[in-house]
Amino acid sequence: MSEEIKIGLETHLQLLTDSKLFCGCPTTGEDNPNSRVCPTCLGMPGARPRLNKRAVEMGIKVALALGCETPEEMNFSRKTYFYPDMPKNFQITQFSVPVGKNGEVTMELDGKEKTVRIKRVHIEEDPGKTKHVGGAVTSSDYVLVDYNRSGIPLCEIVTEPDLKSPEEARAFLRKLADIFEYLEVYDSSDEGTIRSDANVSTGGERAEVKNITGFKDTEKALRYEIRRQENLKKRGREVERETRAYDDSSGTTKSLRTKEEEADYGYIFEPDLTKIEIRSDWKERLGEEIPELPHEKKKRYVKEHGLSKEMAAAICSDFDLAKCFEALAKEKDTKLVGNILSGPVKKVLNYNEIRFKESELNREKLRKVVEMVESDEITERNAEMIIRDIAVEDKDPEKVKEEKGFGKVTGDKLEGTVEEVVKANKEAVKDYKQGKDEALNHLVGQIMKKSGGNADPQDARKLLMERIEE
Amino acid sequence: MKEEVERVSSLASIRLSKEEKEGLEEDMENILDWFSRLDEIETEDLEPAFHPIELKNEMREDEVEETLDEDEVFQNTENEEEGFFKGPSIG
Amino acid sequence: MSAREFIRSEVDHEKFKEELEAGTEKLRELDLIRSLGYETNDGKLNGLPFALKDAICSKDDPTYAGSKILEGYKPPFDSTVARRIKEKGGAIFAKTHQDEFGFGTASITCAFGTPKNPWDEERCCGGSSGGAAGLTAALDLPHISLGESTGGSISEPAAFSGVVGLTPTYGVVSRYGLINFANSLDKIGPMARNVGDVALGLEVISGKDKKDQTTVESEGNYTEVLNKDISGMKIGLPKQYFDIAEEGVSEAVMEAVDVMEDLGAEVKKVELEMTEAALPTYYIIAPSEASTNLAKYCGMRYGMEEEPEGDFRKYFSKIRGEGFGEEAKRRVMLGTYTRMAGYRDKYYLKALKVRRKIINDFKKAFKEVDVLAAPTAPMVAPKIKEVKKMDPVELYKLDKLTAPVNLAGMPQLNVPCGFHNDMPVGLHLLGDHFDEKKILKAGHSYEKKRGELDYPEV
Ligand SMILES: [Mg+2]
Ligand SMILES: [Zn+2]
Repeated sequence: MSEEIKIGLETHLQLLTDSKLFCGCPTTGEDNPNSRVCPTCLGMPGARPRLNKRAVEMGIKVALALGCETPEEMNFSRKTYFYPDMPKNFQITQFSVPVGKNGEVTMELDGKEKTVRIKRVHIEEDPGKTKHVGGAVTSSDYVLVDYNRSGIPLCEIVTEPDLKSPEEARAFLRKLADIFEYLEVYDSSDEGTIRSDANVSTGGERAEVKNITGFKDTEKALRYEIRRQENLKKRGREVERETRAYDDSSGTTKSLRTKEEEADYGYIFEPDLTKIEIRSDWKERLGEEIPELPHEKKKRYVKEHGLSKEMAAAICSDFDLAKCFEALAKEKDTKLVGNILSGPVKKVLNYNEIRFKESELNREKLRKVVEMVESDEITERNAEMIIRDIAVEDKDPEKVKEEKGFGKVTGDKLEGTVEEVVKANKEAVKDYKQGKDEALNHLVGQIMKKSGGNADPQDARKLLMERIEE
Repeated sequence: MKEEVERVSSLASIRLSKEEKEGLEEDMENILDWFSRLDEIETEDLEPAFHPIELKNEMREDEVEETLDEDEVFQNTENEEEGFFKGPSIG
Repeated sequence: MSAREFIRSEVDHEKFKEELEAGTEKLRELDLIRSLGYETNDGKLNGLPFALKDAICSKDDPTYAGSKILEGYKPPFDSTVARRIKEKGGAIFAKTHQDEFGFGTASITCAFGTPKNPWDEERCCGGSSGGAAGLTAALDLPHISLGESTGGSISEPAAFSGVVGLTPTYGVVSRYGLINFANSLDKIGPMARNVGDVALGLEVISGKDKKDQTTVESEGNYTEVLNKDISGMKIGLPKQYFDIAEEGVSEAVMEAVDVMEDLGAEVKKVELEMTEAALPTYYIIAPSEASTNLAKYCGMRYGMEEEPEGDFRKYFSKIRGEGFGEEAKRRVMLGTYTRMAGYRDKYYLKALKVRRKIINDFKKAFKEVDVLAAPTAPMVAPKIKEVKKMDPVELYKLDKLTAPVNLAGMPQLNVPCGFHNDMPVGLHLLGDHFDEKKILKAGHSYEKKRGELDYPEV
């Protein structure tokens, strides 16, 4: 990929309030279309917005956590454009004075640190949701609109064009979601609530790709768009300055409008809301509520608990997993807890594409697993098998252990197996004695096989070597 | 002014007849010319007055309130389908 | 009848119903109202009848804001003022016709007929609360009419129709459920045949409201200042206002000022240097806001609609092209222009800064005087056919004396003070922010001295 790739993201994350940004309609609950609406979020004549204080506080916290400057006084504006999912045909957002400016996010990718500059952070309302009837987005006969989402509070993060690849963009979004989750202002279990517009340039003009949902699609959409731009250049054509829409069903981007047709949002101050002064005591209090953030936590885990950087990063990328780690590390061997949480637990969560809190895992169950390993009842490998089961179903780890017949083979039993294997593999024993180290691995493998995986490979190796040396 | 009227009618999403456009070209020209009188007024150090009175930090607590009933939601339109509002397509 | 007496008096519901029914035909002929019938509510107000300007929502009652695009609309909720009226035992009996969305000074842009002035049916009622003012002049039954002013839409029609109209300080009355014209300027206020009744009306509807975050705590008890004397009150006469008004109008107003001087007020001349700048400032800010408010009318969810087909841009612009009247289109076009990317600073932001200067201009004057007295409008109600011939800028000039104080969001009271060319002239009393009581006191003192007005028999 080209050296000149520049990607800037405008990412929307849903803030975790009980009621909407400008009205008292609930943000969650009944799913029937248009069941969580009122005159305000339906844009009925005469209804007015009433600003939700908690959403503002969440916005301030995000701004502070991203190292932004916050203004002494901010306000809201009307951004006017027509669209069937926009009840008022304008969106209430922040324009001239947003809640945060000039921050940064540092993330890690392939072991290297990378800092992305944050241009601005602002609070705004979400529009409704449209369903297209009788065709795809651009060819449907008409649309059906559900305004349950209308007025849901969003926090928009706008980056400078500092991202250099689709992978970096994805890692950035993951990091952003982690920070939001740590602040307890966001529920990352639904990828649908992270939506981005991306500005992409590969050396020439930039194109804006709108409406990308989730982490994976961001990577996909950017890959497509970069390829599209590079193909144009290869054919000697120029990239046009335009706005494109991402179509997730085909994984492609399509032109929406060119520069000439660009919207003019005609921003004015929102006259139904007052200005918001961010007094220093308020800001301080909110600052104090900001917990240790992922990168700080990671450093501490390495320093305080002696975890490797990779293990610490794996645990810190899931706030609830980190909370579980900290609790168990107090009671049990920190290294062992770290091994199990950053290893098998993380692996199982990733495999199932779920967050810790969405899984059936919890502190009590994992404590039992750790205890079983600690007391030599099971191997770490057995632990992973058990975790695989108890992560997706509410099961007792002890029961799973019994069901599966796990129980660590140790002592006389293991010695017996070693004896059997040595006798049955005389050739291999000879090879090892003559200096062929791989032969030992083969023998260990045989022991593991015979013990149904319930032996500890370390133990087996030790016993085997002792036996052969005799 | 002709171009401006075209652009503004598209931004404001209002279809205008040829006569209406011509009338508006003239009206807007006159009115904008009249607005230009404000150029002479010195406003260097003045804060824009968004409201006539000082209003600050009005916010509500994050509390759930009552929503509209289904019949109230749709009482002003024929364009309802399966609990959704029907609207034109996004062509 | 003073407000105090009003509260005590029993409204004769049977008589009201009967006479309203008998008179409704005539009120409709004059294009003043859309009748809702008369239903009494229990409460302190004992069924006191209220008429609401068409832009004020009341649950399940037709509310069109004078526009074809909202014809048939029935809001599923009460405005705060309607709720307060009902809760206190008042009855809402009519919606009064108005300029489309408030865009007018003569009520000639109403989609449902042009209100005719009860003093002379060839003349307009003023605007945009023309129906409200005309109704009060025509209906000789106890009632209060709620109007709404953005740039003078209570005072000016009150002056043209010879009734009392109070525009409160911005934020004193909740705008929840008011169909917006320009949110930073809109104010709901009462109109009636005497000052006591508008004071009572304000008592009923004012007060901070959770549903409108631009409302403020207000004093309430507006009727308590009635019957207090005004000796020692300092009244300022803004020179510029008297210069702008026609001679006959200025003379009638000066006679009223003389009366107040006789009552013990001290009168002095003041300068309001920003007077000339106010009108263009107003005609930038108001349409800028209005054009965003009107974006919601697009043929979806409520109001004028068709079977939605094809591209939304086509569908929206067709509905909007057909649904909005000429003046609404003009103001949406203007307001869209003045906030466009290249012009925003030159027009919209500049006007907001000039507005600050206008507020400061008034603040300076109110350091010297308690209230200002001036003509409400530069002339008396013009003939409808003459108004229809005026070009927009000429027509906008009818707001010349009311635009400044409305930009400043300060309270104003129109009190009829005599006649010119057989049409009523209005005395305009202006107060500093939250000084409603001062202007009510001044107006009431003058009114008592002036005596009863002979309203035309309709
Ligand atoms: Mg946004
Ligand atoms: Zn709502």
